[in-house]
Amino acid sequence: MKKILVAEDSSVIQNLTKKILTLQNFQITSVKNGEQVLQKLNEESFDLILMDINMPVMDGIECTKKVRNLNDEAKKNIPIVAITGNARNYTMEEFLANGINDFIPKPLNFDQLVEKVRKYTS
Amino acid sequence: MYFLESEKTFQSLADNAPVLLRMTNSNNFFYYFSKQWLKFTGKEVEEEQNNGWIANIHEEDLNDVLVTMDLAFKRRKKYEVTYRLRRYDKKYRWVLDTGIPRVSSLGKFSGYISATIDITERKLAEEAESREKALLESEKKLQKSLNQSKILSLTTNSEGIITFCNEAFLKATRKPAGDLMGKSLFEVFQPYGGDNVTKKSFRTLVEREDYTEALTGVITLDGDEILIIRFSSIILKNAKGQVIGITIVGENITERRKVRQELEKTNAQLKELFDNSSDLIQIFTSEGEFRFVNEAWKTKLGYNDEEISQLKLTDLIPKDYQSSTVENLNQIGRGERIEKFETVFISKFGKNIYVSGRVNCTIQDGSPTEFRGIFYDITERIRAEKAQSLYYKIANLTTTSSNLDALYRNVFEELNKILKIQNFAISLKDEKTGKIQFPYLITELEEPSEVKQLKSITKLLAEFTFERSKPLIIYEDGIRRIADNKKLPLHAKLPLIWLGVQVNVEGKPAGVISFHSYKDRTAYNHKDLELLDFISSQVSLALERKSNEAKIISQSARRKAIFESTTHQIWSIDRSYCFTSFNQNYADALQRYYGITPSLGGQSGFDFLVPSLSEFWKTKYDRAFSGEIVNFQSQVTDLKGNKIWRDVFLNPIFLPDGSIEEISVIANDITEKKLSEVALQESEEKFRNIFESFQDIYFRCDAKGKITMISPSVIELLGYTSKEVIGKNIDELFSSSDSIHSVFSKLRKNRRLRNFEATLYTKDGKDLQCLCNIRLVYRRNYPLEIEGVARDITTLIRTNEELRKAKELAERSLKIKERFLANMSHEIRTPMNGIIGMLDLIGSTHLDQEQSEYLRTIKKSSETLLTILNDILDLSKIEAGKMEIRKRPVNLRGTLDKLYNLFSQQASINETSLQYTVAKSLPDYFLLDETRVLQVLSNLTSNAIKFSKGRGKIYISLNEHKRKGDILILKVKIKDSGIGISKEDLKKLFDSFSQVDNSMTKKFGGTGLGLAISKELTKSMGGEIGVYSTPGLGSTFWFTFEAEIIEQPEERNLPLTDEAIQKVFSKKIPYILLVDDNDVNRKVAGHILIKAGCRVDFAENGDDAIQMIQQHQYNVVFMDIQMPKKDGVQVTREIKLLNLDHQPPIIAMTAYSMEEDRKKFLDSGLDDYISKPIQAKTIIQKVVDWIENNKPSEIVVQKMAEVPDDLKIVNTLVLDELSKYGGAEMVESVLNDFLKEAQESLANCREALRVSNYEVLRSELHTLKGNSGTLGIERFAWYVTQLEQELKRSIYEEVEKKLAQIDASFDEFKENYKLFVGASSTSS
Repeated sequence: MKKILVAEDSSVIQNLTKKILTLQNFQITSVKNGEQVLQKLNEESFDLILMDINMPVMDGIECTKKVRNLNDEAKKNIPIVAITGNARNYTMEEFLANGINDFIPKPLNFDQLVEKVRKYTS
Repeated sequence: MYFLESEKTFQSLADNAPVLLRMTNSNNFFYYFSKQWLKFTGKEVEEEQNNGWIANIHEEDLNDVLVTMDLAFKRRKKYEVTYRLRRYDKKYRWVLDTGIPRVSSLGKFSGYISATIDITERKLAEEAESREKALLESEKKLQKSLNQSKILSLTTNSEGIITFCNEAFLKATRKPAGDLMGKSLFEVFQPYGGDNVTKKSFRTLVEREDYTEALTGVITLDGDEILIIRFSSIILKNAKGQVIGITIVGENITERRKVRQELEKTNAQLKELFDNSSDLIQIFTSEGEFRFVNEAWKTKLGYNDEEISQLKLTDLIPKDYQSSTVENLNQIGRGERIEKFETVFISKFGKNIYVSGRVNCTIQDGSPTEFRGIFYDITERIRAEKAQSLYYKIANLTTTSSNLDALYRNVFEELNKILKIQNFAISLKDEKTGKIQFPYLITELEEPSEVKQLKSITKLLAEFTFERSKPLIIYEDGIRRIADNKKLPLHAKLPLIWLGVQVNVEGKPAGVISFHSYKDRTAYNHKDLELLDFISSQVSLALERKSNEAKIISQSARRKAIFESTTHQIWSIDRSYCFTSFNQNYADALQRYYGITPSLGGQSGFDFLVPSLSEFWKTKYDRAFSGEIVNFQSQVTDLKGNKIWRDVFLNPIFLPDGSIEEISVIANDITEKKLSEVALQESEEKFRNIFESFQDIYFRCDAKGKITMISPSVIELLGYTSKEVIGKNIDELFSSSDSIHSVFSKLRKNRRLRNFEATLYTKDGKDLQCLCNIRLVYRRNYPLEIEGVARDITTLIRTNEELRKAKELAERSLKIKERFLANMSHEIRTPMNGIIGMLDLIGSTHLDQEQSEYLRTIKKSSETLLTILNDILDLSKIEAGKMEIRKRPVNLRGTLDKLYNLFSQQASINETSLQYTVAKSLPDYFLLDETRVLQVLSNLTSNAIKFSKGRGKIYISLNEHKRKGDILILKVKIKDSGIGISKEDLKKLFDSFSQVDNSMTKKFGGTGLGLAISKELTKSMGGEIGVYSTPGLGSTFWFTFEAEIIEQPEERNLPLTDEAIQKVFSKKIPYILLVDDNDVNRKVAGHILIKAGCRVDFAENGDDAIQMIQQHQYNVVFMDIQMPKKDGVQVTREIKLLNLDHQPPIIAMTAYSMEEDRKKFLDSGLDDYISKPIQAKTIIQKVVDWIENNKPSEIVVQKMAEVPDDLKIVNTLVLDELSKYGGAEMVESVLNDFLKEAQESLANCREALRVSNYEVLRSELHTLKGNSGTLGIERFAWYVTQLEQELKRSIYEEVEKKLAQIDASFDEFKENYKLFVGASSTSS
């Protein structure tokens, strides 16, 4: 079973993604901010990280940068997909430059969510 | 004088002495008290004299003091006493008072001198001392008590040194205490016998720390006398539990020894005198201790000297004789004479010795000291007497005893009475085997091995007796010799004497009766043998008689048994067909069949038969008389009409000469057998029929599953014939979700299985769904079986499946219907409002009467339609449980005002008067849902008006019904004088869609839902609804509801809803041009403006507008932007180009709501902007602004307040999408998540706004936007997005107001979302 780490400040989106993806046979771990992402990665590895950009403590961009700078070869290359309302109007080029592989816009389209997650975990 | 002198000197000395002194005179009265004494007691001499001093003594001690002194005074001895003496300060002090008698030089007693000292300190110190002292105290007490007793006792320390001897001990040893105290116990006592007091035994005592068993010690007294003491010891311990000594309590047993010695001495002296006498001579004390017995006595009774010394007379006398013997002795003791003293002694061997003789006694000081008795043995005489009675008794027993066992027992008991036998045997030879058996055996032996030997010896001796054929007495040595001869090994003790006599039956030796003794060789003699011989003859007689009886009984019994015990009927007849014999069964049968009792001789065997039967039987009998054995079954009908079947055998009885005089008949009642045969046939047939016509499959199989029986229906269901199936294993035909194995194990556990589903295989390989009931069959003598019935439920399952589908479809349809209803009513309401609004407008134009009539009809219909729609909407909400009660502060009087305003006109049209009262006691303000209360009120009121057209009054009252603290239950009554309602109708009045009379609906209009809705509404407001009515006279509807009393609320600007347009412009009438290609828009906006007091011209397109604006001086122009030929921007541009003198401001009307557009319009020359749909307030405000202020205002607000029409509160498409992934539960849970988080988030927004942290606010809004957008909460999302975007562009205008809109929108969501939760659950 593929393991996905969901980093999302809002418990609504967090629970939603967790429920949808669990039903699609993914194993979901959720955290609330970037720092917790790094802590989790310290303990175990994942097949994909779904990352909210706008998070307290450590936002998604910063977090992604840190993940990409990890020493562990496997962990540093975990695909990261941003889930974002894109409040800061990042372009796709900017996301890629920061190490984010792809993004799913908010409001979430559930089909798109499942499709993207499948794409990055297969 | 000298004495006085000296006394005075003494007194002066005494007064100064440190002790308290007193003196008595020769009469022992204290007359002198020293100064110290008086100082101590604080009293005067006079007070103390004449025994006054005694008052100072503590009352508890008083007695002690007086007794001590009195005792001393009498003897003129020294005294010493301790007591509490009261001091001057009233405190008692312990004092030691010692008094010594004064004796003058002349030896004359002159009184006591007493010295008293205060020993309180010492006493207290004593009391404070440890338990050690207390123990010593208790030891002292023990010694004291021992001292007072006669028991010898002494105490030693743990080393065995004597520390105390009591008086009794000293007296017994005749030694002064000094001789013993301090000496070792082992010096004082010399060893004696086995239980010596040795250092070793003493140490053991100490170690055991226990009360011990007796020890014995001897003390040699002066003059070679010895004192023998048997003693027990008590260990003394100190506080630490260590052994500090032993107290020994002894008993002087020297006396007993002395007696023995005396006895021995006397014995020697008297021996010669009496030894030659065969009489039993004894001398005994009044206590019964023997002083002397002669040799004959010893021989007779078997005791030796040692034993005699321990004996008392009473020990020798059997209980039965004790009281009489003692009484006789007492008589003699009193000096009376008894000529013939008779008693019984028990010998050492337990033999009773009857004695008779004389007893006299020595009397000293009036009491007997020594008895002398001379007895002679009268046992033989007594025995003879008893034997006499025994002979008689046994002879009697022989004739009366019902069985031999009782005889044997009685014989033994009688014999025992006179001979004291403990070992008795009756040995009988078995007639056939010749083996000896013991029908009766009594022995004192207990060991099985001994008993076994006894039996073999008894057999041996019985054989020996047979050989000798005479009564025998055999002694131990004889027995041993006989045993040796017969090579019988002996291992246990042998009888010392054995007596045996042969028992003869019919002149042949049949057995031996014997008894023997293990104790006394002389126990029995030849007289006893005679007795036994006699008994034997009696037993022989008895045995003979019993044997004869038995023979007789067995023969006749055997015959009778055969004859009677059989269940067969047996009889015999002679040549004249008369009964010669019959058994009871036959007699009973005849009684039963014909009600007659047969009798022997003379009665014919068919007297009682009907002629046909007589003939039948006669034929049979005759055949038998001809020598034939006849067998047949006969059937008779008994008195009760029951058919009786008999199987009959006729046997000719051949006499020795071959002739036949009699026939014996044996008949057997076989009716039951016959009947059960028939019943069995019937039931088998019945079962077979059921079995054959069974539609389900009945099967039976053994415990391994092998089918043993199956109903023929198997061919119809499975295509197999029964034959094909029988013998197969059941799992070849059957499978279920459980394995066969588990089915069987469940069966074993529960004994039966009900309704379990299984699949059977048909012959052509199809599956057949079956429902099975199986049980275990237990039948006696049959192996375990399983039987069951399988029913084809294929069709049932299919039907169920179809039913389920149909039900689901129906449910789904119902849900869809509900949603459809809810949505449709909502959707239809909007155009209906448009229609009604327009109708109103048409009404305000000039119409002829006909047109007005039509219009009124249309309007009425429309309104009815709207009511219906509203009702349906309400009801569907209520039924879905989605009706919420929203309580707000309400002035109830105002509510009733509103009601009145609403209905007064309608009432007056209906020629009905409407009145209402509110109880004066009610407060003004309540917390309640006014809309709902009003709804119920309206429903009831409009009904009342409808149904009482032209019939007087409608009277509405509002009163308090109940009160629970601040919560009031209010009751409203609406009384009409209408047509009333019948009883039957009352019942269904409040049900959905049930108006009392359908014709009424037609006549009076309405959906019939009003009351049902009202009922639900009142229920949801904590109230009830009801009606009482008299048909023809009117009805009173009432309802109750809960309302909380509150203070008058602050005036709040509640949002205006559908407020009537007020006439704003009255002084100066604005002249307005309205340009719009859409007719409806034109009319709506125009209507609003006209109502507000404006004058309005309309233009349908830009060109008309350009023309008109040149012709008229308009104050304001409202310009639609999207128009087909020229759009509003273009038209405006052209108008502006005209450069009119009276150029009016041109205000754009558009559905475009984007900020950018606004800018574009303004840039294009438009003066202002309002968004569509047009709201009355907004458009009027615009006119006011431009006419009065000549400037635009709050454009942004107006714009922001508008939400695009097509946005939904919750877009169900999104929810459906979501439920596709996780079903209805997920939708609900996610919405709940959102509700919770959004609430927090909004609170955060408020806080952020308060501290003007726009970044936080924006961030919160961003999250809210994402979340609400994701969940399709569109209207809310729209508001949130608007504000977020502005903040992003750093526009901070009226943020608070916008946030309030967001809140309102959130409230809107909260109120509605549950509707959608239920609604989105259909997709899977």
